[in-house]
Amino acid sequence: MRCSGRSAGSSILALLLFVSFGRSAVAQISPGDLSKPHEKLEGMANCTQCHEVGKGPSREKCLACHQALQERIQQGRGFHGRMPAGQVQGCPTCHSEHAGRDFELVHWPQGEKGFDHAQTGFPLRGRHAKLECRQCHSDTFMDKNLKGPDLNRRRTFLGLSGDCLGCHFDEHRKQLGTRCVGCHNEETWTPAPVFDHAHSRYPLTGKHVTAKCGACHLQVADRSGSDTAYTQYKNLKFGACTDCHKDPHQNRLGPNCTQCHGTDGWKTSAQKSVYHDKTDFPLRGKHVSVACDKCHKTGDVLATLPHARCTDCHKDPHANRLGPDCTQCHSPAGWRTLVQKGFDHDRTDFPLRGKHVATPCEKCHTSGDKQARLPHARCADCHIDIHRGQFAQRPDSGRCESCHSLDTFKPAVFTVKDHAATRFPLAGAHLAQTCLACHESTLSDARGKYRRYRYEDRACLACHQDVHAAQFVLSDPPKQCTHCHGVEQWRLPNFDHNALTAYKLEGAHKAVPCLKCHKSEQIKGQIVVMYRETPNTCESCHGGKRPAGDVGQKG
Amino acid sequence: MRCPFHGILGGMYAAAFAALIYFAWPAWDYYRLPLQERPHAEQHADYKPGGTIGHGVGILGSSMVLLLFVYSVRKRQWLGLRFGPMNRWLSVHIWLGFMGPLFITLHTAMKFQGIVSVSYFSMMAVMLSGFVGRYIYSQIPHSSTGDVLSLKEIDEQIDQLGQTVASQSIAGEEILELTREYAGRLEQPRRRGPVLWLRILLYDLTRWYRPWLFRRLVHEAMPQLKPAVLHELSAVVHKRSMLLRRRAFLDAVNSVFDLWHVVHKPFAWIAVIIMFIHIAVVVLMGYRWIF
Repeated sequence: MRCSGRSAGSSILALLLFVSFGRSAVAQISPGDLSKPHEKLEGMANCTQCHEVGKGPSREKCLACHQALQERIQQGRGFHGRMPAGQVQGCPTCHSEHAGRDFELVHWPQGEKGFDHAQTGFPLRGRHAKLECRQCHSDTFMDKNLKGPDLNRRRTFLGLSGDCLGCHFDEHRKQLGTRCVGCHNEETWTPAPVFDHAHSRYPLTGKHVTAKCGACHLQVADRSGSDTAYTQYKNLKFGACTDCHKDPHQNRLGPNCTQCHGTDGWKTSAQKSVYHDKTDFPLRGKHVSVACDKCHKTGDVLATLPHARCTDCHKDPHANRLGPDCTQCHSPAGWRTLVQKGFDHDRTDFPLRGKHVATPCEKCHTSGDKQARLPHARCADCHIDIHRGQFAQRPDSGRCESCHSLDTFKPAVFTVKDHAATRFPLAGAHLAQTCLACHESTLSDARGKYRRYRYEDRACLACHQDVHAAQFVLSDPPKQCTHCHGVEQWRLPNFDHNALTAYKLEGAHKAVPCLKCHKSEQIKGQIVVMYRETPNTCESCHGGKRPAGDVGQKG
Repeated sequence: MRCPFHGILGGMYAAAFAALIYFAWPAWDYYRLPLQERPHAEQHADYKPGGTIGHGVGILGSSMVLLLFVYSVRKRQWLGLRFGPMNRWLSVHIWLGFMGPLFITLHTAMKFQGIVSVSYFSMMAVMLSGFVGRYIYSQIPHSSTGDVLSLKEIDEQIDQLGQTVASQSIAGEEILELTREYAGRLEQPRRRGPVLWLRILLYDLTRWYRPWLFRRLVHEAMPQLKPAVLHELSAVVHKRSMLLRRRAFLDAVNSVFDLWHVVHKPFAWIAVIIMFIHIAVVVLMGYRWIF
């Protein structure tokens, strides 16, 4: 009985609790209040307005109310329309609900200003990037036809077309179409940085490039826009210069201004030369760029001026020293540049020849005054003597031109024939040697090494090495190389032993090779064949025996 | 020798607490966020009540709460289901009733709104009342298997313990007198209600002190008694006095325990019924966890 009493009590209490809680709990079946925009969907009967039974919150049910958004998604436009299909898991992924009445359904992780607008397909650049969101996303610029059951025009970011004229007034009053970005960018309206007049029917050249737009494109009064006038870009006449410019010749020279004038300027026009070509003084060279009034000092450009000689206009800086015909040295291309190329040095007493022709003027006229007279009697007046005066004792005092030409310094024009006139005429094997084999750079001074051309000692041993280790120099009397050798060759194929030595070769000795008797010795590290003081007794070579039939020599 | 069941039970508590920490720790910052900022938090997808983890711990906690009722079934002896000792079932019941609500607390993500919050707070009331019930339950003498002892069985145990004390009467009449005096302080209560429960509470709070006091009295009277014998004697005397005390208060305790059931169960039913409503609504709204 106790048990049943306890159960009855429990049941009654449970019922009371359930009834008291249940009444309010039924109203609170929702897990939390809906946000303010969805406030009217609060209540148990409205769950399926957003939730699909058994499937959860439904994207289709959201878009059934948010029709404007649905339209953009279907068109692939805007932030939601450009979201990758895989990324769209459902509206609640980003727009959570049941988080309280004050919960903001649109969350900006980086703040509204930090939103990457490029994700909408309309990246903000230039001035657009500096605007507040609601300066563009306002009812003023919103599509008037944008409607929807839940659309709040003060909160929505939908409804902007993305076209410039969707927000901006057409300052050109439909003259130039709707594609503003063909001329303007988002940074600035004037000047139109993208516009290129070259692509128009009237490409700008010369001074037209720097002329102000308004000088040609005039203002037209109109009060339909934000200002009182607009600039005319269409229906402008530009076929003739006089459509814009006044004719100062009052049509005296015909309607075609471009025959004389160009767009570079009225007075400095390149077309000036075209006009002058019609005169007997066509403008050439620097005359082309000279201002008209430089010559036409009266201002009357059509007046005929004397022009037969240069001095009719120019002063003669040579004071007539070089004659009246300036063009022999100068041309209209320039005063200085043509002096260097066109001056005839033959008219001086130092005509340029050989390498002098190609030598720049300043190389000799080092002071810069090309008209200054320079000493030029000897080469050394300009050139340095690289032989250091070795030829000064020659009869011609060592004049350079005796050995060198104006065409080139090396090779010299000095020949073997010329060498015969020196103190050492070449003969024999010396004729086959190169100059530099004897004239080596063995001398030096502060300027460096230089070649020896003057030899005081012209004996053989001045140049050649004594391979006999002074055997014959020490002989009494001393024997010169020429005692045995000639200049033809070093070797002695026909050496007359009997005539030139004291030991006559007779009998079998005539057939004995030289080195059989003349042995080699090492003297100061050098192998030397010994000729002098060769033993001449029989025993010295043959020992105690004498070859059969040999009578020998005495002594 | 300690029963291995206690080790298993300790392991169950440790595992459940470890799981709680494992799930709750990474979401600590999330739980501290204001409700309106949570949807923007990175952990929201996982730890919101309908999130992968949040929903999962909710299912786990709900399952544990439902398993609580296995104890109720076991307790109904008229059903003839007598599987397992009652005291172990009670321990498991308490474990489920303690840990299940904690997992469900994680599931709520500390957001207590709507009808389901009634279920939650009812469940928490049941859990807290469970602690009170467990204390009341401890005042009722039970057998080693957890079955409630009848008065006859209680008296038999008291006699048996009395004989044990008497068999150790080497201490003589003086100790027997002390024992009687120890037990004699537990007279039948004349008044019930808060005063009685204050007495019970006071007694339990000073329970550790009484054997020590008994041993000191005996030692003063019989200094020659060995400490080991004295300890054994005090344990028996204490057990017998506890039994005597609970025998004396049994009627009063039983009537309070009946009243406790009247409170404990309705909240449990409210919690479970609303929980089922919550589950039904959630499934209907399309939240099916990983399924």
